[in-house]
Amino acid sequence: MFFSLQTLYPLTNLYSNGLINKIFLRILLLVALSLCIITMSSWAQIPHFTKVDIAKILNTNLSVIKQDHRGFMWLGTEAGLYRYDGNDFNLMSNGSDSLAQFSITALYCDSSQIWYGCKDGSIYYLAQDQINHPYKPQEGLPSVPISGIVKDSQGRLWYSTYGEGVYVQTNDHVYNLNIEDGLLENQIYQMTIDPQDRIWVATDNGVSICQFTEGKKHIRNITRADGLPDEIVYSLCPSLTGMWLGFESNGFCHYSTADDSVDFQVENWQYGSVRTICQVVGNSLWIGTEDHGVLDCEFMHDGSLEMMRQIEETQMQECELIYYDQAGNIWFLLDQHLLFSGVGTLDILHHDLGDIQAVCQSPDDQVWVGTRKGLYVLHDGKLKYQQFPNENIISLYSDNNGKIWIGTFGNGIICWDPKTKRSLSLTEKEGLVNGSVFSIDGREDRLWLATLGGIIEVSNSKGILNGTRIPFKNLIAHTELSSNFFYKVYVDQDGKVWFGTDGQGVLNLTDDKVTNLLSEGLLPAKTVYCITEDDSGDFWFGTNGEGVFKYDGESWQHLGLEDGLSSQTITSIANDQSGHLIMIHEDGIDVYDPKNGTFRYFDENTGLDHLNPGLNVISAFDKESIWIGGQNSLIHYISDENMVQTYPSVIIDQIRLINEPIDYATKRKFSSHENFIEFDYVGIWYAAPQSVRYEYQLEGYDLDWKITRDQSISYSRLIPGDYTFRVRSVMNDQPILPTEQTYSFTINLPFWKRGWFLALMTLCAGGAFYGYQRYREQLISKRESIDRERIESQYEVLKAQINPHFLFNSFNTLAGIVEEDPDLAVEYIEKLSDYYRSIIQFRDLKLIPLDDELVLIDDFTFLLKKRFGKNLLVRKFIDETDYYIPPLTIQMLVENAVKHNIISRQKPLTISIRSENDEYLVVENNLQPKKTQEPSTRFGLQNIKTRFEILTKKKVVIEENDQSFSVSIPLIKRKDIK
Amino acid sequence: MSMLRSLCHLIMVCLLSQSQLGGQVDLFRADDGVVEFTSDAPLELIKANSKVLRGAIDPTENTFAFTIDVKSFEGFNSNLQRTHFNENYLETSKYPRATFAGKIIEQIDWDSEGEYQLRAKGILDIHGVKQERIIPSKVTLFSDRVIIRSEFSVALKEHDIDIPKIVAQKISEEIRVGIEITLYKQNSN
Repeated sequence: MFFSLQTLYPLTNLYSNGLINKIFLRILLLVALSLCIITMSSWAQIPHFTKVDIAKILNTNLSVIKQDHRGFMWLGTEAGLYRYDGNDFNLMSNGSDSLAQFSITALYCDSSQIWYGCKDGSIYYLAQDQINHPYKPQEGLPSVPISGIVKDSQGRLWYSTYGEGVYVQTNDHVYNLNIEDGLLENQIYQMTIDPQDRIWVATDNGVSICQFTEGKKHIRNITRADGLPDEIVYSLCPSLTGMWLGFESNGFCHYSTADDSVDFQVENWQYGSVRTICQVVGNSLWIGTEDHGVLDCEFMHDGSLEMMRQIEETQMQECELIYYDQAGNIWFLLDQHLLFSGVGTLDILHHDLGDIQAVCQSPDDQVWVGTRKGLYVLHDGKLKYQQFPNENIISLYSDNNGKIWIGTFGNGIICWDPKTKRSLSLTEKEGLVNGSVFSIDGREDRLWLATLGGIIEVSNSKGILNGTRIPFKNLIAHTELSSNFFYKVYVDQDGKVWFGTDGQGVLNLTDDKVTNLLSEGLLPAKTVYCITEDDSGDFWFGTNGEGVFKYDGESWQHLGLEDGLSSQTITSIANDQSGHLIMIHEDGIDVYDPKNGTFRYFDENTGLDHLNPGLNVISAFDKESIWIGGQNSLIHYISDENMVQTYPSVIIDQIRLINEPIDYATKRKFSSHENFIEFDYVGIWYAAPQSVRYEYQLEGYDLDWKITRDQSISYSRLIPGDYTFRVRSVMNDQPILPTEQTYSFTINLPFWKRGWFLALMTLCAGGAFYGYQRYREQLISKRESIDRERIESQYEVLKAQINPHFLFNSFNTLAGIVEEDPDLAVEYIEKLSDYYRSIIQFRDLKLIPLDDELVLIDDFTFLLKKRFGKNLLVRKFIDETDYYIPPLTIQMLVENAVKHNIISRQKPLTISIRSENDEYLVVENNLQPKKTQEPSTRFGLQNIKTRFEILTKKKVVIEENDQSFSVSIPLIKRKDIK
Repeated sequence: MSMLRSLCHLIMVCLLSQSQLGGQVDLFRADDGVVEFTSDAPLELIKANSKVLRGAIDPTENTFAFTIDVKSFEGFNSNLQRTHFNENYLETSKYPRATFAGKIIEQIDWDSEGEYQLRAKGILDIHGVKQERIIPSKVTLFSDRVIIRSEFSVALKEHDIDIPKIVAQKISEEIRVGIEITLYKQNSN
């Protein structure tokens, strides 16, 4: 147990002090690797790869890789966590401060978080916000390296350590499972979870299977005593029926969980310790070894090992990790600095034989290849010459008697028995209507040939090499075709024979009766190159320039460029065991999934050269492993049921608003000034990252889609409105619609353009207008009332002045002085007339200057003084006269005083007119009311009050006490005149 | 779990029984550690402590055991509260002791002085209910003694301690516990 830690398992180097800097994982090399699965020991070369030197780029060593659900590849290095999208490496952990802290030893990706465990026992997770959150359970963190992280179906976090066993985080606590609890060892090399939610850990003493239910630990151990071929288990890989276990010295085995036993183990293992195991599609398994590189194992359907071979390019290297990603790429993490990635379902053998014109896999699993220079067979990873060097072979057929039928261009057909090497050539001389045999198919001992001269039926082909007379039957007689060119013959499951013609459509031969599908209007395909029948009994026809037709016996469907087909001309077609259609065209291979309507393309991006295919270049004898011939290449396609990802996916990685990243899952509304927006998007296609193109459109701004290679686009000065950013990947100049990602957002109008504001403004304007109207109405009514008051006052004043009393008194006074002092009388008359003129002059005016009123008062006083003499005293104390008052106001007050008070020598009346604080003009008199009051309407005062109310806010103040009576009238300043 | 339980029981017996005193190994022991607990409920803050925490560590086996007489807790906000604590909640007559015993996860050299952050994995037995817990502690090693400071929380429902609804607002569902204990090296013989 102890020695193995130090000597046999180099992973411990990672954990032991001082050895970190040992040469270890320097370069990352991505290679789209083409590797053979079956019966071959080596391939000639690796056709297509991309190299990335991680030592130069990241300056660190790589420890673990994992892919997240979006497609990003996460790389755990000795200096932090990196995200790789095929083009760029982004450091995601803030690992610059402490390298030791971020020396990553375990990685786990769930749907929203990336978890990583470090050499010092710390664990972090990276959430959607791309911030590193430390995992901090209250129980504390391990003090030894984390060797695995996984979450079970209940969302519980499990982490294994190298030295403290396994931990599980439940809702309440963190629990530890170690040797005291029954675990085999505290040093865990690898941890994985099986479909039954059980945690398997690999240790020096075997495998422990851990469960934690209702607070109880359940640990079951599988050791050598249980049949394991070795005690030291390094690697684990879940399978459908159990678990693959990789050992220190005895290779690997499969442990079946159904019968709790080892149901497969490899014999005579010579490749050292197994560091990693990865199960890929079908029955193939990849084994990474400590110093013998990568091994590729293929299993038979009965579970026995069909073949195992070493990948030449990885020989003598240590493979730490093998990873099969969502897109079918294989990644190798090689100790000697390499990481390979390739298309796991496609292997390519290069050769120099020129065009392969026909491929045929015989029932004994031999792959036969027809070229311009004869017949070859695939042997030991190479094409080996067999026979017929001068024949231009264009079709091949292997019958169930082991004979190979070879169709040539111009030289008829050859029947050859590989066992006896006997052959028979049948040409036009032997009765063949035409020597160019384009296609051969058969059933039991009947054969049908498609030639450039019609269709030939060969019955009783079994005894042909024994000299039996060959009964050729020309079926062309049964048809009425204008062309005798036949390209394809296909015998379906029911024994019906289908023929593809040049321009004449598809012919069907059932019970010796020939039907022309084109002329009968059943199927519009004209020139048909290839035919296949799928498992559900539908027929597929590949045509020249017309795309592909599907025919179910009654109706047909068309598949063309608009559906994603790469080419309208399909030369060969076959269907695999997953129900996918493999279609060969000039530039590559289209794999179509009819269930989902999706395509997977193999072309120069995935390592295929120009194919230049013939009409018989596909052989699907084994529907799981299909052989395809091309120009200088032989391609082995392995059926992949999942066909997970068939094109570059597109991810909107970041959206920045005015240079600041936003949480675009929630934020979709921006204010009017937030109008500068940038989109970063990534297309994940590791096989050929440089070939990914995008098209994007900002609906509401761009009128059309724009095609670009850029992974970023910015829009500035967007006007308010609704926008939708759409981006999708483009392949073969066709947009890949399912990859489309969208982000809708709204830039709001500035607040002064928004509805509520406009409504408010309308309301305000309406209110203001209404207010103004009201004010105007008030003003008009005020004016009207002023006018009315004035007219009334004029009337009163006139009435008062024409009051006979006043005239009588005035004339009396005049009569008294006219003789005594004629001059005074003249003056009196002048004043009287002035007074009346003033009254007449002022009565129409709203306001007059105070001065004018005072002049009038002087005249009026003069007239009164002549009558009352010294018994009446009128005093004026006016400081400032730059005021206005309604006309005849003071006159009316003075007249009132004279009218209502006794004026005698004993009781002289004093009227004072004075200004007060520049605010009021006060007319005051001592109060000595007449005993017999003159009839009063009180009109005068009321009239004054009303007039002032209209003109000013200040009130007219009337004060009356025993001594005096005063009226204060507001002085109106010039500027206050409305 | 049962394996760990029996192990813990064994540790308890070995470390704390008087018969071990004449023992063959160097132990760290103490009889006067301090335990303090805090219940920080919305309506009331309750604190209590006890100075009779007994404990022992066996550095050769990396095992430990601590025990306390639950009745010895003092403090509280009233005598009545203490009575309730003893009679109703912790049922001290039925379950007089609370214990924590198990193994220390980290392997340290008990002869080298210094400060360590260690995690003790063991069975916490309160109110007769055993729960496996990992409790992190700060451990300061001297040549003749070791000081352990630790803080952790105990969820009442995990130990079947029922709090009547009427006082639920006054007693927290999670009790914070702090311990500080200095254990002295016992000389062999």
